[in-house]
Amino acid sequence: MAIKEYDVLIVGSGHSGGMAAKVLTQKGISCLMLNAGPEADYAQDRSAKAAHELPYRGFNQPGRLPHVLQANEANAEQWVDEKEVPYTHDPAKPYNWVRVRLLGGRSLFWARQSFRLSDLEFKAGDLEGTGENWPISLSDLDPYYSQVEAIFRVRGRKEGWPQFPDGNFVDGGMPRPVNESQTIRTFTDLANQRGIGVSAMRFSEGVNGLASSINLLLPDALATGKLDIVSNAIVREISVDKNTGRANGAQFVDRHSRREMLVKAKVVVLAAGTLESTRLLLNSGLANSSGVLGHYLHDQIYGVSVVASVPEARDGKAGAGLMGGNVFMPRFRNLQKDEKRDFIKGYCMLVSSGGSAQPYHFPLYGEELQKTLDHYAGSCVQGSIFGERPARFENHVTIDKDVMDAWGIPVLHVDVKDGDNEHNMAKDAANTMEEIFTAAQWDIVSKTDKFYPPGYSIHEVGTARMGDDPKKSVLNRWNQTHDIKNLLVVDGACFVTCGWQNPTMTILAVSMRASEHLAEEIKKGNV
Amino acid sequence: MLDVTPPDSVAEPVARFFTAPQYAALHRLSGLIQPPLKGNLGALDCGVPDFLDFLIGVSPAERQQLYRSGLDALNAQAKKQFSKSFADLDDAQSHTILQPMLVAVPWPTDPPKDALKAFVFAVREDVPMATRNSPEYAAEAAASGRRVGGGGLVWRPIDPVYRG
Repeated sequence: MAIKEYDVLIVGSGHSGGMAAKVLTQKGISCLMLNAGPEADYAQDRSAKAAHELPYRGFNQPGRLPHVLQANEANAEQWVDEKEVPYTHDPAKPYNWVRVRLLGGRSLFWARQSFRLSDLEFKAGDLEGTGENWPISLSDLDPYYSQVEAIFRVRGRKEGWPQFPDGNFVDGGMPRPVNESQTIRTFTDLANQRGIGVSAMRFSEGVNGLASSINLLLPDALATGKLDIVSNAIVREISVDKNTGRANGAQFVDRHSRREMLVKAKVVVLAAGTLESTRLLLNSGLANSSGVLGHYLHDQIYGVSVVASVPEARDGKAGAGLMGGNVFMPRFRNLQKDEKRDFIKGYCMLVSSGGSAQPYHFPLYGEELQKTLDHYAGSCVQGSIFGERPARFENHVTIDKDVMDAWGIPVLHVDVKDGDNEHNMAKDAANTMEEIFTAAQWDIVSKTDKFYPPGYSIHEVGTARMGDDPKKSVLNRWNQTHDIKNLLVVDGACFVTCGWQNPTMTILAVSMRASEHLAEEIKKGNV
Repeated sequence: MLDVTPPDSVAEPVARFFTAPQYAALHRLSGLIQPPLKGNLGALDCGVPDFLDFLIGVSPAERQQLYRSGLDALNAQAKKQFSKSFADLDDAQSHTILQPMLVAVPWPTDPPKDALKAFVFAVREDVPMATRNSPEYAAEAAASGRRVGGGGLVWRPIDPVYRG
């Protein structure tokens, strides 16, 4: 049977691949999408069960998914099986790679927090005097962010703060609340006195509770008649024309039959997720003339938290007027070049009111513990952060040729560790929350400046960063590899800096921008 | 679909992981940590020691060792201080043994470094959860008109790889 040659092969079906498919097909370009996993049927593949009906009563199957701290016994099947697709790391340098291979990828399960990066992130090199700038700025992405926000129905409150760029929000933006609880008002006043701006969470409303590639992007692409999707297609390597050096398709293995298959396309777009796209490039031996491929892996620190109890809310007095609500503080550190701190970059802070203390907060058990928990019930205010990890050359991935996945494809070795910057940032965050809570005359119940290992945030980016200098970057400003112009990477691998923000809106906007440019180049015959 | 019966309602588990002294200490410890409170069933009403015998028995070696050495240490302390096994101590004596091992932590994923404190921390997390998530607790709650949490929408294996 003759191979059909497509205009574009897209590897991956999450937010970035779905956006590429939508943009390209709507411009009349034929696309083939390969996805490594199956399609999930939300109705057929799930059923409601109580914890006691599960084999391990909600404790998780011991030893399964040791790197996926988000896994539980109910959702265990949605994650990539670590035995089927392992990765390696030095035990002293833990890395939690959290993956989904279902059609739609991680777009099925993301937390939907929806932010733009600011020029503090795009031009971080200028601000911090170290590291690189992105080759693009907020103004380049602004029109794409606006379109993405409309598709994903982003809700948020407009603030006009440069570190927290406003978006194209549903209904023009949320109004400022008028009936905040007393604790939220107190916190806001104290934060403002310290120069910390207090806003609200921004999130994608989506449609019917889902803000995924499978409901907001791929249906539009399929409606054009220009998209074919093959699931269970695990791409082994990108193929290259030996005469021209151009990418011309891919070889994949069928997940069930293990048949090796070839597909042909004039352009190859990688959207398999940061580390899978980079793994594919490394396994294919492509796009690494700079030596930068696989380097600058970074994400965000999660876990730093402080819990305080409001004395007048204890013993069942946590009424709605006193407790309840939450607020969001975008980055407020290192907004200016001359700030003198022992860390660069910044973090956002989330504070919620009305929670309860946890059993592990007290050295008690039995009836004494229960009395204490009842005493504190509903009286707590909790603060947590997302903080930016710097992109460092030494934090990188390579191919571990000694370990193969279930389909005989060499796996990744991840070599990442945190530095002083992350720990100093975490200390600042915990101390800042403690200071404000104490100023409010709330009692500190717990405080930690520790955080989860790299990868936990599921916001891993970098490893094929973009830039104008082919010696320092893998991709150009249009997400084409410097080495092969008809080979693109449109997912989080292209990031130069990640910011404190959930990267999804930026991944979507970058993919849209790159895909629109690609469509123009295809029509001009330039790729 | 035919109506089938869950095994817990017609059979009792065979304890097979912990030694008899370890199991006896776990039984006593479970009852101390999660007694019947506020009208709810306690750990012993819910067969928690039997469930933990199963769960820890299929857990990674590191967790098995944490439990085994922790229970052995409780028995050793009880012998040393009261010339009895931990299972035979009264509440005040048990508390004397347990109190130095109790610590507050800000974050459940950062357990104490000391092995004995880490064991007691683990048991303090596991016993209440095993109690709440037991069929006995759920049945009693349902009979009392109370809701219990846990579980949710559970994914089945999605198009699992054909194994031949």
